[in-house]
Formats: sequence, C-alpha cells, structure tokens
Amino acid sequence: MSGVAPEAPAAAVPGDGAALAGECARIVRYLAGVAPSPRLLERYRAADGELFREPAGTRDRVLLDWVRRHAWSLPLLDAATALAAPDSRLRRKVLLTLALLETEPALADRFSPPELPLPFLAARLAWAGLRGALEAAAGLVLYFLLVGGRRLDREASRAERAATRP
Amino acid sequence: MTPGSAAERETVDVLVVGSGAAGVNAAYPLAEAGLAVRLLDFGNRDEVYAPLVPDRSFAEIRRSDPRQDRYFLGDRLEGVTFGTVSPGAQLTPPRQHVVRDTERLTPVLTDSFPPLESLGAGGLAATWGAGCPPFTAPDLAGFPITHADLAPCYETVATRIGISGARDDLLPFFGELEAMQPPPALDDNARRVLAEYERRRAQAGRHGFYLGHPRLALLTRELRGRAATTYRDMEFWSDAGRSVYRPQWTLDELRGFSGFAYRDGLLVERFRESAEGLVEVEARRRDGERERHRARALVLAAGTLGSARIVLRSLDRYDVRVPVVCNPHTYAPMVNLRHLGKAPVEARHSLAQLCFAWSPRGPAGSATVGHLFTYRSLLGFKLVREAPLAHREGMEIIRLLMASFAIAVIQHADEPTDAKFCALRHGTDGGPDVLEIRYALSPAERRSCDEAERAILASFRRLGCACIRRAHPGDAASAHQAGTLPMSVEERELTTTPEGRLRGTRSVYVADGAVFPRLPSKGLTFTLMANAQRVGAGLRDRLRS
Repeated sequence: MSGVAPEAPAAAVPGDGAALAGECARIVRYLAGVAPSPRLLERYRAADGELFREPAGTRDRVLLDWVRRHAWSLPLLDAATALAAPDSRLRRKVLLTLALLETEPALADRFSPPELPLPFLAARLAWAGLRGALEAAAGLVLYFLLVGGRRLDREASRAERAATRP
Repeated sequence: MTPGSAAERETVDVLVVGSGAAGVNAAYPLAEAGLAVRLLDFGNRDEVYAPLVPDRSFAEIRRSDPRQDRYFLGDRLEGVTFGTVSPGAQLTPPRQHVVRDTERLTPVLTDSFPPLESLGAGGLAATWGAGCPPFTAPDLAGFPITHADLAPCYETVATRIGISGARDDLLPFFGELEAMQPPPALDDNARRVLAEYERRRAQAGRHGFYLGHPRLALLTRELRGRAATTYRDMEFWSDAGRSVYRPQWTLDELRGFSGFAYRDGLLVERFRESAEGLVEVEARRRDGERERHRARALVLAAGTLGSARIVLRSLDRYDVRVPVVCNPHTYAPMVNLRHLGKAPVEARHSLAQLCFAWSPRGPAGSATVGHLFTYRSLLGFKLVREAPLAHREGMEIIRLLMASFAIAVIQHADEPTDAKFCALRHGTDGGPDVLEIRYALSPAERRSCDEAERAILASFRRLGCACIRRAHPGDAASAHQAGTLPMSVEERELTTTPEGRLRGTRSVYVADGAVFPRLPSKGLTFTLMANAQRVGAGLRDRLRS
C-alpha cells in the first residue's frame, strides 16, 4: 500500500455528495494508493448514510474539515486518533473504508498474507512499525493543535453523554 | 385458558419449547418413540444472506465475488462495528438473525452482563463454534447425576450429530467416545504448534499443560445425509454441506416422524397445570395474538434465561432471585514465531484448530480448558480495529502476521454465588417483563482465572507463541449462561429434580442449561444435548408406562 496522493479539497459540505466522494477518494488513496471505483464510491456514500446519520460533534467536525482541506494530514491524524480518540468519526470512517476495500475482489491480494523470507518480513514489520510511530508522534502534535487539547475533548464527551442520555 | 383452533384444541403427548440444541435433542427420543410431540418456537431465520453466499472457498470468494460485501459486511453494515459493542454484534451478518428481536421481546436489565439469547431456529447453536468437550466425572462434581448417567447419552447424541476428535493427550480430560470420527486436518500454523508441543511434551506435562485435537461437531465423514467438511474456511458465514452440526438438521429429521409437529412464530410466555393432569401453555404470536396448547407434559428448552422467564412468570415468582453462572472468558491473541513468513494454506476450516488443558495436578481431575483458533476468514479489518495504530500500518502488520496469528480462547469454571443472580421484574407500560441480571466475580475468582491464564500463556510461550495481550470481553461473552433452575437432590423451590422435572409441578421438565448447577471449564453444549436426550428419554419411558 503506497503513500498519500495529495489532492485538491472537495466542497466541504458535510453529507454533500461531492464532499463525500472527495472524502472517500482521499481515504482510499491513503489506504490502498488507488482511486476508488464508481461502485466503491457508491458503497461509501450508502454506508456513510447508514452509519453516520447523527451530526458530527465539534471535535469530529474539526478533524474531518481539516483532513478535507489537507489530505497529507490523514495518515498523521489517523495514527494520532488511534491513541487519543479511537472512537472519533475520522477513525471510524477510515475503518469503514478499509472494510469496503477488503471486500473488493480486485484488491484481494493486497489483503492476503504474503509468503516472505524472515529477514524481509522483519524489515517490513519494522518499517511499518517505525512509520506508524513517526506518524503518531507528528499526528499527536497536530491533533492537540487542532482540537485544543482537552477542551474540545471535554465538549465532545459532554455531547456524547447528552446524546446517550435516555 | 381456552384453546382456539383445531390444532390448538388437540392435546398432544409432549410440548417442547425451543428448537435449540436442547429442544431438538430432548424431542428426538420422544418423537422417535411415536409420541405426539409439538415443538413451539419463535424460529427466526436468515432469509437474506444465506442464498447469496456462493458454495466456494473463502479465498475463491474473496478473489471473485463482486457482491461479497453484502454478506461479509451486511446490507446495513451490521458486520462493521465500532467501539464497545453488544455480544450479538460480533456475529457475522448471516448469523445475526440468531439474536434478532431479543432486545425487544426478551429485555434484560443489567450493568455488566449483556447475555446472548436467541429467538432463532436452532437457537444459539445456529452460530456456535461447534466445540464439544464432554464433561468427565470430576467436571460433574456438584451435579446430582453421575458420568455413568450421561455416558450413553453422549454416545447417542454423538451418533446423531457427528463428533470428530482424536485419542491424544487430551483423552483423560475428555474421556472415550466410541462414535467419534477422525479429527479434521490441521492448518499449517496449528500443525507447527502441535509439532512443537510433541517435541516438548515432557516439559509441558511438568507444567500441567496438555495440547491436542478438539472435539468438534464437524464431520470428517458423511453422516445422515450431511457431507464431510471440504475445508472451505466458510464456517462463520454459511452452512454449505451441513458439515457443522446445527440443531436445524435435527429439526429436519424430526419432521420425518409422523407424530411430530413444528409451530414457529410463537413466543411461549407461561404454562399452567390443570386439574385433569394436563399442562396448558400460552404463547404470543408475532401478530400479538395469543394461542394456547395442551399436552400431557411440557419440556422447557427455551435457553437458560428464556426458561427461567417462563417458569418465574408461570409460578408468579416475580422479584425472586435465582442463580446464574457463566464461564468467564479471555481471548489471548498470539503470534507463532516459528511460523512467521509462511504462506497460509487455503484449504482449512475456521473452527478451533487445537484444544488445550491446564491441570497442575496432572492429567486427571478438572482442568482449565481452552481452544486455539487461527485467524483468516473473519477479515483483517476487525483485527485492525483493535490495534492502537494507523489503519494503513495496522493492516500491513496484520497482513504480514496473519498466517502465524492465533487466538487462544480460555474459559474458566464458574460457581454460583450471592453476587450472581437474576430476577424477573414486571414490565412497565404494558411492555414485556424484564429479567434483571447481576453478575460479579469475586476477587478470589478473578485471581484464580488470572493464575490459570498466566500459566497457559507461559506454556504457549515455551512453544514459540508470543502473546500480544489478554482481552476480557465481558462477563457474559462466552454465552454459556446456565444454572437458573439447577438440578438438585434437595427439595427446594425453583430447582429441578435429577430427572429434570421442575419442583412443584407434575409434568413440567427443563432440558436446557438452566439445570446445570455449576459450570466446569468447558463449553456446555455437548453436555446440554446429552442431558436433554436423557431428560427426553426419561419422560418417554414415564409416558409409555
């Protein structure tokens, strides 16, 4: 899976078709290094409507808007939210896209375990780990700059509590 | 109660409630003997996904079926779950019908024990992992029945459902089973773990660790019209060939008996014994209407909690506490370091590859038992979700490790205590009654679990399997709830006799996990089926005489 392909920001209207298509394209490029097929775009649009009906909270809006405008930051914020906000909408959207990609026949081999000599396997594991750690380190700085540290987290928690109150 | 339709007016010999592993195996000896048996069931089925899943291997489907997302992820993305999820949400989309409607029709109030219950045809065993470790004599300590009572029933059920396994180092923990088929082939990863164990057998034995083939309700030879496994790695998604046992297969056989009738779409609510010696059952149809059935005897097999609901409501024992037990469960994902970099073999089955027992006092007595699963057909994104990594790197690491990845599922024995109970509460605003469940392990119980897990994982480490973490998915996660109406020799209310008869009734029997007074560290389903066979056969003899 290759790196990020920088891309012009799409119209940033949440729930808007073009914005969703842009969002899907960015995540697919990040995860698989390819452009999404029309069918995948359609599946993403339908899945987004099914899973993310509720309006995003403040923190999630900030993160999603930022990623829409700065595609290069997606790997960083994905790594950072794995540690700081695993339930964030950004992370959920990336997981959803990963699931959709994994069920694409054309990409089956990308998700299948390879046979590798041990040194190559160790090198690839080490590289993936190192890259993940670097992304997380840089991403955490960006994350806290964007969401204002604990303030927005507290707001998000309050909003989540209010939403789940019977 | 006034019976309505002609079918309802007809009094049968036996009414059986529930089509799960207990219900169909209790019904079998009754129907086989020519008695008039009517099985009442809610009977939800999967009518959406089953027709979509091709009869091909997981690897082939992944490469070729453009519509695989429909059954792998679900039309409503029910296979993609986030954050903390209820136990039912972990089921694959083609299996989620098993728990459909339970939140609405059989609500539970709990803060720590969200149980898995079923209103599906086949019950929870329509989605089980097919593990069939029999209880041995030490496992039955505290039961008012002996292993000799159950041994012939194990054989009868094994002949009916098909059990595969081996006579290996786990034999002392499982006991003999004449009807056993040969074990299924292991995949490469599991074979390497077993080979390492065999090389270090003496050392493992000194640590009280034993490894071998699991007993599985998976056919390796044809049986009663069902095919032997073809190693397509699709057991979590489809039932092609019927090589994994599901209670629906026995239900299909039961339909061949002239005295047997199946009525679905019914939620049984209560029973009453009449002065004439009959049992009357009231059930609610899907449309909300009620209907009544009468019989000479009733067998409750609606699941541990379902049967408890029916009994507590029928006897008007609201707010009375009854015990509940459930095997505590721990998952330990591991990497088999000796298998790193190897390509996975596509021909495999998805069920437990190996079984292990930890018994520090040697190969006798009761052990802590678990199963080792290798991981392939549940898709990688579910593992990535659990990893504190960016998805791209997480997926890369999972992909590189997947062929050497394994999950040890350790389950512990459970005893009833004052901190584990349930009670039926009246529903509010015309809603259904609510079963309140409280369940808490004591610090001593948690310490005992922890000690066993550490010892087991240390033994796996010596075999080259490095544990990544221990995950405790919650107290109800094993779905092995039992013990709400325990068998007892004491004359106590809300218990059952060793024959399965509910005390205080003449002709109401309980045949499911509700009667197990405690749980050893083994899955209960095989024993539950054997006991249901025993209860059904005993009732048959009583009705005949």
